[in-house]
Amino acid sequence: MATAMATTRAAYPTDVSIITTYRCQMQCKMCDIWENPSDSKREIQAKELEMLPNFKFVNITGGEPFVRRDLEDIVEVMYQKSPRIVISTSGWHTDRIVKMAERFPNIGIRVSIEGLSQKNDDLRGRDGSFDRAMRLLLTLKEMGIKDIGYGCTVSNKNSEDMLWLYKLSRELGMEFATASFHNSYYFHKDDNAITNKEEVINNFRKLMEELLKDKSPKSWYRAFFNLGLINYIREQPRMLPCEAGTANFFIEPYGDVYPCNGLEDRYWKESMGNIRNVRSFDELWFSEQANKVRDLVRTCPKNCWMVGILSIQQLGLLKIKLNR
Amino acid sequence: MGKPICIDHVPHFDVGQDPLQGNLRQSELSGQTINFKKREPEIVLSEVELADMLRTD
Repeated sequence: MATAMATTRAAYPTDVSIITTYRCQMQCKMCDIWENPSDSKREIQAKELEMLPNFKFVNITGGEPFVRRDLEDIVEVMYQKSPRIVISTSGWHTDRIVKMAERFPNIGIRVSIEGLSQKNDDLRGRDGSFDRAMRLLLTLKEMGIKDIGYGCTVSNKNSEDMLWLYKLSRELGMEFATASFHNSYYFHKDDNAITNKEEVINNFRKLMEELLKDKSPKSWYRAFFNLGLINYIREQPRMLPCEAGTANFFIEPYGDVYPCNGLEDRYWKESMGNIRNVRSFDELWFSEQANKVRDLVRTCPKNCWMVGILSIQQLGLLKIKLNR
Repeated sequence: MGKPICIDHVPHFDVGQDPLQGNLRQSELSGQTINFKKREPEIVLSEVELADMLRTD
């Protein structure tokens, strides 16, 4: 089946995440990227991104993207390719982020917050980081920036705070996203494992109950996503197929294209190609190597729960099964 | 709506995914314990670079 699918020409991706740097000033307990920085002189430049196709959605991430002084150049190039750009940040560099929002008022900003102040600062390894994040979000809100919010990576230590962060987001009128910590080459971690499963699952259940009370379908979808996180913590197979490397992909700081950032050498880790080694994006995206990586994704053993996409055909199949 | 949520039984729907996808099977892959190899950092930032990253202006 996998081989047959690989012979079909892949569709163009709709989403991209650009890992602008592996440098980061935070020292998070669940991520060792800060100990493994990229070389700033070799990081991809805005001009190199001009070869990318158009997207529905662009995520700019790091490391900490705002350590790059040329981030506005990257955003400028990517706005020619996508109507929506969201930058993931620690929220540390307040002035630079505000300046970015002044220049690009439609920009999306998502700040990582791992708990209320004490818990956040402990997990992120920098005193005052919660205060900075809050000051930033409130300043952006005051400026009229609409696409703002924060996200929490749930680990053994902060699942209760996740519920308070959700309540805070409701009061502030901001987006709130969740993820579960996991291992990956990207985080340079292999010991991110939830050991107090019942406690964490119970807190996710409480969050789902709150989300399902909301009138917005987006919150219902988020409840389903959190059910997927419970499923992930229980180490069950994914609830939906992973389309990493097909609908979306990552570009790392030296130009390599990966289907996702959750790869681990102990399972498999292979690049689809490097944008610096091709004349056009098509040459990379439709290459034999890219198809090989898509085949690896189809049988990837990792049950991480970051992206799940249903095609129209799959959606129809799911509907039939649910109606039985 | 109004029903208590049930998380004890998460249904699995076959919506076209390969049965091997998302199914952790470390022992099946290699037949042996998989060890994590911590890579040595390629780059070590200087004190000046670290201080620059912490600057907020």
